[in-house]
Amino acid sequence: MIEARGLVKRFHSPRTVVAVDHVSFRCLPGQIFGLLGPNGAGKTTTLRILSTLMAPDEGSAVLNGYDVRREPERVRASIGYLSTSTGLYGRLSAREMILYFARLQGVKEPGRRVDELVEEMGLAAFADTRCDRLSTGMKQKVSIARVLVHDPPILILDEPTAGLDVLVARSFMELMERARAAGRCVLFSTHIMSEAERLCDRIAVIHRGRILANASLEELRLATGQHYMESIFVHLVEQAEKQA
Amino acid sequence: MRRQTALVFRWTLLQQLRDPSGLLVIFLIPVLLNPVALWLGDRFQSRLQGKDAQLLVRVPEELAQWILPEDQLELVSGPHSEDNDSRALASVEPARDGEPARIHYRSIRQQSVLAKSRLETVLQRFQEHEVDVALEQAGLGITYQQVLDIQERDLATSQESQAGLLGRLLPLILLFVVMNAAMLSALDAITGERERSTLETILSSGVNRLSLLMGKVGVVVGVALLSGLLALMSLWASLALGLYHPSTGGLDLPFHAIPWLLVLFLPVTLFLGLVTSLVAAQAPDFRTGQFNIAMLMLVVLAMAGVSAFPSLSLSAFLALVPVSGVAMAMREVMVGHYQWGLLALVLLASLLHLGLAVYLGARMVVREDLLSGRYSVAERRALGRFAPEVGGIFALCLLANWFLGQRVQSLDFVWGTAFTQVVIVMGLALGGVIWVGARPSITWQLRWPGRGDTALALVAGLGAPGISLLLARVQAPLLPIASSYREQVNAALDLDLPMPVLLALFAALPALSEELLFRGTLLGLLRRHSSPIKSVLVVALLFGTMHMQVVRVLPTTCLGLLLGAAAMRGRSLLLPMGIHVIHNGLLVLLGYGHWFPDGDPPMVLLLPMAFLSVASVAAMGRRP
Repeated sequence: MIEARGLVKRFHSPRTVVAVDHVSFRCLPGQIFGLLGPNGAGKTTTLRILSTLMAPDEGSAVLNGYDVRREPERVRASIGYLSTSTGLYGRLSAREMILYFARLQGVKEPGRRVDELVEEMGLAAFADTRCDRLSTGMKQKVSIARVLVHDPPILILDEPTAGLDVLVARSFMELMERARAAGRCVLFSTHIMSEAERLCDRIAVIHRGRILANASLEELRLATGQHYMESIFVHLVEQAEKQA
Repeated sequence: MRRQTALVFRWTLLQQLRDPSGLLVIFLIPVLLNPVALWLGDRFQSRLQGKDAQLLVRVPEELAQWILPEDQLELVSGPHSEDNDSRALASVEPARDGEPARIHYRSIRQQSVLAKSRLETVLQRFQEHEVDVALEQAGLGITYQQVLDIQERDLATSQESQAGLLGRLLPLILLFVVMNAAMLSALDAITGERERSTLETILSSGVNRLSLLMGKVGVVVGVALLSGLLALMSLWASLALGLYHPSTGGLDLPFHAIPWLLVLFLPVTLFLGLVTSLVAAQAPDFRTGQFNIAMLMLVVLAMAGVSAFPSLSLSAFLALVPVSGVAMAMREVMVGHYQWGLLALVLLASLLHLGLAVYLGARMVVREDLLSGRYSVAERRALGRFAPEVGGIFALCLLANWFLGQRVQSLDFVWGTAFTQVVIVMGLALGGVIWVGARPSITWQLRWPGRGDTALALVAGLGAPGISLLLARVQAPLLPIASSYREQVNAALDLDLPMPVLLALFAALPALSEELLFRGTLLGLLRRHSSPIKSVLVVALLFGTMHMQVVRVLPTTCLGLLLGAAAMRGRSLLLPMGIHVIHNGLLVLLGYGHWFPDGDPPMVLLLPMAFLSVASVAAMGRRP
């Protein structure tokens, strides 16, 4: 489970900007939680705080029972984090990349686990190709395999389908659905409304660092009187702008 | 933790081994540097001293009989004419009417200088003969002649001389190779993580941060060690193959020195590898990493350069100076004249430096911001907390200059001056920027100025001595120039060095390093949260105080105001650098040339110079 309470993060370049402004939400096991917002809304910063890459200025977050400030290493062992870039070592092959992280995470029988993932992700034909020679879709698959290698209970995915073609993006969405079915807690950020509509059990709309709404799709429809996610999003943002 | 460190080490090394271009540079340089340097040195020396190098000279007839075959001199034949004379590399004009004999040569031609040196030997031979004859005619016996006859004897064996020559170069070559390998490896393994966007991937994995850094430092140190060992082996092989065979005989790497070299080499390589890794880890991007490590290399080479100065020998003081102590110890073991106690002290100091670097590294790595790059100037600027850092850097510089700089200058003035400027002043300028996590190029305002500002800086530089000399003269009744300061200046000017070297050492180097520290780091940090006028004033006062002579405080503070104003108005550090170099250069030339009867230019010249300089800086920064 992920529980964020009043997270605040400020940046001071060149003037002080509150990137994350008292963000609170809860994501339960077996749930896909979508963080929906435009570029610069504070999605990536929130995910970086949860994956212990950044410390919050205020507030706290607990993942799988571990506090991000007090037990960052335990938090990292409980999560699989995928950043906006694939973050692969170009000089390692796909298999080596997954194996390296399997060993770093202390996976028992890492070789067998890598074989399983290579098979599951359809990477067999490219497993021994260097990562810098793989296509974008293949790179993203290797990244996901790397994230899943230690079988973490929590997945934090930062815009995982950005830049992917329709077929690969679709296979990713299926993968997230499988993760939910396996009882994992999946937190992902996106600015693609259709993805959120299709996948999310709960959606948090984030704009200028603040969460404007945090509810299921049906609840959002009821609250805003809009049917499509895009309309709901525009409605919420316009309301927030008016209030500001 | 140990398992994770080993894993990071193994996989990082594997990746480095798969980068052919990086490997080529890391391992080809140590293998090729020695043979190429020795071969070139041999070629150069052969050109100057080779057996076949017969040099053409013109001498009077009475002197010609004193030229022996081993002098390798050939007389210009043919009648006396301008064309024939110009063929001679050097010529002798005999003593006449009480005038001494003169040798004509051209200092800019190496062969002419060599011919002059050989002619001096011939003249000395002739003179000795004349003295012998005169003494005999005066009835003085052979005893008197023997008293006047001085023979020089070099007590160093041929092997010692050769080892001494090699010992002067070897530490520099070895430490350059080590730093080069450490730099490339650290940039790839550490700074490259951020550049390739793999940093988040590795940091969000379960790996312990200390294990991550230690694994990567292990690779950097390992590559540096291997590179250094390759350099040693290549040197040994090059000498064994006889690539260097000057007329004095072949060079040899003394067998007894090898174990000592390895023992000395190990801790210093670990130290340099660790420091390079930490500098790489602190860099927010690849370019900044490259820049910072290149500056670090310059500092390390200035420290290692001590071995090239034959006037210095290893002392307890030098043994404690990082890198310099090891470089000197390497030279001493090469020659074979060393004291066990001093070598032990060097080793102990090396281990102490290493321990200190490990301690600082461990403290830095527990900061979450080290690898995530969160420790940014922007945040510190918002908090307005750079004043303590500015004070700290300045105090450290003052202390280092007082306790270390003055001491090394008393050992060898030339090396000591270079050491003070490069290691202390430049080192602290760079260290300060790295410590606060800033980008040097931005903090220092390293950008090309416009043509207009460049021209104004040139005029300001030419007029700047007017300010410092004018103020020195105005305050003279109250603050006469101390004799020790005059002696220091005269000692610098009396050095038997060519003018370009004097200018580089006493004009350009201090100007560049002081600008990096004062208008670069200190002003760069202060101006982020203080007003421009306050920042320039504070830095100018620090600049004046830094010169550690009461008599210099007012002139240097006012010069500091001018330089600070140039940096702020022109928004480029290159402007005050240019002004400062020209100012110092003119002062050196004034001191050397004795152009004015009183030493300094008259007031009537100083006043317009000062006005022109101030007006030029005031005109800077205006955009069309």
